[in-house]
Amino acid sequence: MSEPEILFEHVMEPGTGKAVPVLRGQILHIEQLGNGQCADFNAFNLHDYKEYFHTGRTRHLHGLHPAEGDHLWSAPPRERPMLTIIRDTVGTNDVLYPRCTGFLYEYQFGFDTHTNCHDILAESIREYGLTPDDVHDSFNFWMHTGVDEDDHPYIKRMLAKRGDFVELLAQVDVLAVPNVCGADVFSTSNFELKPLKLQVFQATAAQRERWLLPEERRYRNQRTPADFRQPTIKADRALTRDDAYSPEWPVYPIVKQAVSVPLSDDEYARIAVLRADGNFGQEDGEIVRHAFFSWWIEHRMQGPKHLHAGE
Amino acid sequence: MADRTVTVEINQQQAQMLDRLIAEGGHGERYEDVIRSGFLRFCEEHPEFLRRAAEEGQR
Repeated sequence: MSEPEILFEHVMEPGTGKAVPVLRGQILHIEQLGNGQCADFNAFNLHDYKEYFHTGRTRHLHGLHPAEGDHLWSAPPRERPMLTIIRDTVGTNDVLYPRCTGFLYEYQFGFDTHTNCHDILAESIREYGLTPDDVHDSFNFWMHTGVDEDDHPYIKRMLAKRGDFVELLAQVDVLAVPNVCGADVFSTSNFELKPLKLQVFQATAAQRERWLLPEERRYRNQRTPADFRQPTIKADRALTRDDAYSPEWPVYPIVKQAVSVPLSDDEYARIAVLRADGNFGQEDGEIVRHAFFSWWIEHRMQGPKHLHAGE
Repeated sequence: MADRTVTVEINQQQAQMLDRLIAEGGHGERYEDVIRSGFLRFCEEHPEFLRRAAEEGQR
């Protein structure tokens, strides 16, 4: 198989990042040049920077450690795959931790100045006229994390080695912004900052066939600015009230109705069982409703369930 | 004939979920049938709650 034509190549030295356009159908390759370096990552729609990568939706749909086959989703209300992870030679990524910041190193370690992902990302996107306020929570490639028994996140030793790589297929034209994570005082990158190699190349026909999604939005609620009641981007910083404002909520008012559900004595006894469990509510009606919608989620809901029955 | 009646409050959005089940068939024709059906199916599919309650009762 012939090597793909390299459209862009760059080595990110420690303390730096790079904003690089990656067009739909192109692949961004990020590679370890040393042993174990975390890459923080932001992404913007190249034609509308107000659409950007969202850790929250990505975490919701793919869990705390997205891997090969998972998407990097854009923020609500756009909510569509911006990039897809099509190769990942390690499989330890993180969307739990936020980007590190100057504040964090000052507060936790007493540094006046320290390499940090927020400032590096901000300096990278300045090349395209974006501000530090436009940096968003990062996708953290290779960051090896977990959650302890007390529900607190923690950082494990980085597993990536020289030559390990991830490849991201752009589903839309994006400004991709990886950076060498500045954390040398955590085990994020094993207490040492190392360079990372970036390449951009065209996906092969086989890769496009396998991974590229249709361009059209699949769901009505994957919105565009054409759907916004206020599509104009504010250009000044101060907030002032619009006196003509009159809210138009999507669904309002919420109207309840009471449904009388007949149960035999045997069936009714099951309510007491669920009540005793303690995780279904106290009133008969709320217990039946909780069990009913739990059943609905288990059988009809698409995607990850986010439900452990009775918890 | 029902021995008991339990009042379940739902809103108009939740009612749409019931409407879909009614349209699907097999869950009953009225909201009360659909809720009862889902409730009983949940209980059948999660015998662990019954088991746990029985274990607690033996202690």
